[in-house]
Amino acid sequence: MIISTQLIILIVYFVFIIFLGIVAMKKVKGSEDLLVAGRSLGMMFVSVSIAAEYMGGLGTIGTAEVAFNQGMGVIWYHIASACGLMLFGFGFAHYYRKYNVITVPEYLYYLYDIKTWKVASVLNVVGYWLFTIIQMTAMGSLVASVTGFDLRWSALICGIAMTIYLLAAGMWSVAFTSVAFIVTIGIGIPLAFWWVMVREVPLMVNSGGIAGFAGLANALLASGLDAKHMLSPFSLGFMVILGYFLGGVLGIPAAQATINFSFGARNWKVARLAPILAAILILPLSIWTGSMGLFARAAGLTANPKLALGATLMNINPIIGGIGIAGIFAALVSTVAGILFGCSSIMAKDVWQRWLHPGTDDKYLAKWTRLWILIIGVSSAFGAMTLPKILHQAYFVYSIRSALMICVAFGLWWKAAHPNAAFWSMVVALVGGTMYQFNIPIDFKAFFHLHIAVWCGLLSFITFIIISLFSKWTSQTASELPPMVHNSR
Amino acid sequence: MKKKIDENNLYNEITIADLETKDLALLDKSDKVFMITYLLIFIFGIILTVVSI
Repeated sequence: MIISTQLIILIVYFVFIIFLGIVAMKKVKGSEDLLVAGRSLGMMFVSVSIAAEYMGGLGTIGTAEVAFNQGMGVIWYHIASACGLMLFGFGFAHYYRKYNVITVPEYLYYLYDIKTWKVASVLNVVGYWLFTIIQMTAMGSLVASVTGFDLRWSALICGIAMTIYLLAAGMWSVAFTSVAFIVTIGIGIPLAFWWVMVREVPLMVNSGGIAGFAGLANALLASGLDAKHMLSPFSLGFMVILGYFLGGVLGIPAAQATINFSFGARNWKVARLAPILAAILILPLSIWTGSMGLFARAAGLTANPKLALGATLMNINPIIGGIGIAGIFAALVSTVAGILFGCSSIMAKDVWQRWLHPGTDDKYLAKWTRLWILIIGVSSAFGAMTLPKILHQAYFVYSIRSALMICVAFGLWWKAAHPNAAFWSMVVALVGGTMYQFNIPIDFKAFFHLHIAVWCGLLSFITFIIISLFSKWTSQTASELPPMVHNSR
Repeated sequence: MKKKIDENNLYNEITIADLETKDLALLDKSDKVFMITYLLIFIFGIILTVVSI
């Protein structure tokens, strides 16, 4: 194992966040404290928890990777994500909060019927369980690259540690640590960016001794790259940028792991405004990570784009690099925690209690929420250890999130939205997403060039409209709806 | 002229009912400290970005 300053900072930080998670334990008295922090989270906790969850591996390591390959057009990723968060804040958050829901499928029950709620619950659990494995693998990769540990053992250790910390206090654990995460990310990443641009870029042989993007452009030119194109904010092309925006809009408003902190908000006003603050928090991130990814390419630090950000941070001033790595680690931890927690919430509340064991009390739910965090966390940690090739299954969760967003939006704003349409739009999105992902029977991507979230969103959208228009409201359909929704239609 | 509120409308039902409750404050004591910290971090990031370009 390589004992570096970066590693020491990372270990100290890791112990600190586990400690914070355990400190939050005294806040938990019942299932509502565990699942939605007693619905008492203020603006600070809700906004930082949403922002920290959304930054994740894709928002840090992933954006540096895209910049390494295709240039600074990646800045649109966080601009688009911020738009998605704003849409959620202005258009959806207060509805969820006013219904006092704990999960997105539970809200679908209020909007539609029992079968929609059941299918949404099962698909969410499966999707987020797979996603937990994927994110634990990403976290293990970062730790492995810093420590020199074996990837599999790193993934297992991180996964188990995350499970223990969530078991302590559920949403309170995540909320407490998110404050530390935002401070680390907010200071560590821009500080590392500044150091790279002002101190490291002029030291590159081909930069001409110039700091900033001008020096970086010189170095890129000397590497045989089209510097003007790589530094352009439009280097990715219109379709990719459009894909980011559609992905942000479709991916956020019904993503349990990201938005469940709004369910724990003190009131609906906090639930609505906190995502807007979160959007502002994440906005500049890809300028910093993208620039560092591009630096890794110009300086020839690595040939592997996935390691671009890690390689940059390991090759600069060790203290600043260490804080930067702690920032990325924080982003990954918050995402793993959010996803594992979202999955466990749906499993415990919707599937286990309401569906399989109705009539059970609060004590029973609190016990089983912890047990499901344990089961899903430990199994995902072992999954991350043994199944690293499962990475490409992320499509599953993208498909479901898009379909759920379509269902929630239509349920809120279209009076003719029919329960059958909600049910089938989810099924069609999942089947269509699988066909798209695995080229069954043809290579759809070659024809449509769409991100899978957009593809599934379109399928859901079309299915929903067609089935709603051709489905009739019968007495049986109406009797399956909760009274409040029934009266309004 | 003030519009008459349709109480059977789902939108009105879930948006208007809570408006009368008292506990709708946006910020509490800890939030105010956070807002200042957040503002400082944000300004710090923006300054570093501008300086670095």
